[in-house]
Amino acid sequence: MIPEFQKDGNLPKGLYKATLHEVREVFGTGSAKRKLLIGNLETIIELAKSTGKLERVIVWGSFISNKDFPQDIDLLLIMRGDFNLDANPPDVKRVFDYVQGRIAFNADIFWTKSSIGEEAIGLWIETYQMTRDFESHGIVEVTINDKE
Amino acid sequence: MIKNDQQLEKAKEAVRNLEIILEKARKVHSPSEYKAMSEPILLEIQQRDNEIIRYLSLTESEVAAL
Repeated sequence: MIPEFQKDGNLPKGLYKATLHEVREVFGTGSAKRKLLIGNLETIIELAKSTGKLERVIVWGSFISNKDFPQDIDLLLIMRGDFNLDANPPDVKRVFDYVQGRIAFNADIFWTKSSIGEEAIGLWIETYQMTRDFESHGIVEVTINDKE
Repeated sequence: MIKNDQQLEKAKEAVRNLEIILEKARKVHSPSEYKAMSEPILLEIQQRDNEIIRYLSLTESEVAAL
């Protein structure tokens, strides 16, 4: 469940699980930019899910703040250990190409495999909870197996 | 932007965390996958390193004026 925003417009520090429907309700309405970005996020997740290897999706940055016009979407896709990037079609592969992801989806798409280990994933989450202003904010894990 | 020594330490820790992630990632991704997945992390390390260098290039009085 997504908590209330803090006074500074960000989520309190922590990892919050939410369905894509909840993410759409909280972060995908309001400005045209938000509607554009939620559509992009849904497409990214749909393409990543089409591999059959998507395990987790973690989102951070201005998209999960209360800014009317967030800059972009920052997210981490965690794929199963047996994910093989080269076995996927070009439209799926572009999700895993940083530059193409920026151009096509206005998103900073990070990705890895769960076989990297919990310690590394924990470091990843800890590092990206801290903004460039050295403040720690909440991040959201989109639950991908729940019914929408 | 780094404004004090406490933030400098946090920035250095973040860079170290990202380096550890890459060290571990290289062991579990194929070469082509590693090239693709490491790109945004390397960019992030470069940006944070630049901030560290910029802060360390300042004198004490310049830091105090931040």
